[in-house]
Amino acid sequence: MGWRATELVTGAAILAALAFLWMQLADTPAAARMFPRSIIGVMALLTCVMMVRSYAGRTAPAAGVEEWRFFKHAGRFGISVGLFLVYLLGVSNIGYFASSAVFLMVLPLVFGFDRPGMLGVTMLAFLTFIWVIFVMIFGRTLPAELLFPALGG
Amino acid sequence: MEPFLEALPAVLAWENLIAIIGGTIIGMVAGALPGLTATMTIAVLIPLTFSMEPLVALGMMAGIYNGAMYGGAIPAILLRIPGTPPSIVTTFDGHPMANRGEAGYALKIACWSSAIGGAISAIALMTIAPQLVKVTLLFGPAEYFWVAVFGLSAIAVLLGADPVKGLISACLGLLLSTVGLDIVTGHERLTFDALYLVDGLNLIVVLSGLYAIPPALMMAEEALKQGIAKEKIRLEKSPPIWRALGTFWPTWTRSGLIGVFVGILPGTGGSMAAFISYNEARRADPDPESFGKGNPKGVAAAECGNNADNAAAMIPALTLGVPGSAVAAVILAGLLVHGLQPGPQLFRDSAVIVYGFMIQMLLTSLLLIAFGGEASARIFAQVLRIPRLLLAPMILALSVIGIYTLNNTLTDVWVLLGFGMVGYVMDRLGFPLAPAILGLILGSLAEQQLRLTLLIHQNDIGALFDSWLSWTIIGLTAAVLLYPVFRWAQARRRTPEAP
Repeated sequence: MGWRATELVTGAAILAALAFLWMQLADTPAAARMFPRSIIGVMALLTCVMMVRSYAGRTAPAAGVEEWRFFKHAGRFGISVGLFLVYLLGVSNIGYFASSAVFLMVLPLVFGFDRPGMLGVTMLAFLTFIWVIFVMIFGRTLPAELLFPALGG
Repeated sequence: MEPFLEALPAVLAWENLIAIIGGTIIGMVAGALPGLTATMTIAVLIPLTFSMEPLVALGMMAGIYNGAMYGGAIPAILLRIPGTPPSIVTTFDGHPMANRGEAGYALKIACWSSAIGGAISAIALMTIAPQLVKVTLLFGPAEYFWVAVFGLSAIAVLLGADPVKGLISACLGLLLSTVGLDIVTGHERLTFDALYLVDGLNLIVVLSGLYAIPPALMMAEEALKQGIAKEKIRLEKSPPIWRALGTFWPTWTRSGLIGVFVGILPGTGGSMAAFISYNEARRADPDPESFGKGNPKGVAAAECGNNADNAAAMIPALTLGVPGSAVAAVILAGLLVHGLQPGPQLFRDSAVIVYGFMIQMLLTSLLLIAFGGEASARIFAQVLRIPRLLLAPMILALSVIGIYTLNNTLTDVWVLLGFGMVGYVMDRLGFPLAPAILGLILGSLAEQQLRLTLLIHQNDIGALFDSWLSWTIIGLTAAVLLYPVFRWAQARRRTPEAP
């Protein structure tokens, strides 16, 4: 999808979201909904300006954007977000340190980083730093660790 | 002078000094790494500062701010890659100097210029802010409402490339600020019956989501496996700078004053300060042709102007709650999470903190001289060798744990991910992020003051336009909003018509 089409689709999505929010405020007392509804109105107006501008032919270079693409690399973005999601599920189920150790190793390896020794040292240094700062110095409680409960503080 | 003397012992406490030194080093490392900015670094570290005393937290932020602005010069000079947006101007003469074998000397000039620019800016903050805050005593609720509108308009219109998208982003921030219980009626707004949203959105969660997650995802997307080769960042011995200090003073004075002036204006930022300073240095020089070919004064002007913007951007932030730049907006968020509300009350009730912060801005600027020598430049240049692919998961993991420890809830972490995605999409579609954050910060102020005005005057909307002060701020806001139209008309006049 090109720049103009993306702007038009984005504008339509914003307008739909604003219409939904406008309706959500229907049951709110008039005094309480005045400010958010004013903002919604202004935002809708600005979105229309953006859409009209694109519809009238404003291209990516005219908007100061050279060779526009939404993703620099869609596949890598998908993998990164997927791994991050799995990591967050891991944090909530097996704890922060175990999940982070795996995440810090797996993400670079998946993208072809071929120095496992350097990865291991970086991972250990990073997790030690986190433990010293959050658990030792600030005494914060981290998500419960399934494998090493003592690490969670 | 008295408030500064009272704050000095607190600033010199050991935990503060560690925070200042640590923050400066972290800032220099972050600035030296292209892709990491001062704004992002502070956004990642704000949750960590939550457990600290406010002055310690602010000392760390001051160090990151000043350190990052200098750190950006390291790759700018060595590799012609600006570490931070304002250091683009440093590449103009810094890199040609490096090509001539004068990289070490260029880095010394950049370091001294950053330190002096930062010091001039901190002195301006220390002298102007306490006076300006007295003026704010003239402000009533209507004037405060217009100040919020002005600050938001300025950041939205002037900061990004597209004013319309800047304003949409600001509106998004304002809308997010309305989520939760209404301050007057106690009625829930836009909570979708979710208990989590009743107290409103946590500023730090939104801030970290928008600023920390997208750059990390983009780094992973780029998947750069190698850092910069060792040979490219080798520094040769260079002559001591103190012999040439005299030749730089006029450039430093001019650039320092430009940086302070630009910094005070909301929405301008270090890039504009660096560009104007550089242009003025070239105009004033007897040999303007030498600029862009490795003139040391070009490096001095760019770095001094860029750092002179730093503390000055905090003048409107501390006095009016309207930050002068994106980094100042993030530091303002840091103040707010520690329960410190900008304005006269801050100067009266938390004098040690606010005056202490001003001293910290001065100290962290001067610290750059200690850290910016040849030996430390060599060490900091080594961070360029770290593969960015390793940094991405570390930034994500640090953000996750920082946000989790705010309230010990994983819901915050999922919200962080949600706003991370929103930030990524906004960035790719050209919506600037700073106006959204500022909208979230200023939204409650704007709404409170608006509704207070209407309550006092029995819903008479004319009360918003009663005073000359309101009209002055409205005039400034109109000027800011009309500026893009003026620029567009000017550009059209310059473009020759097609035959």
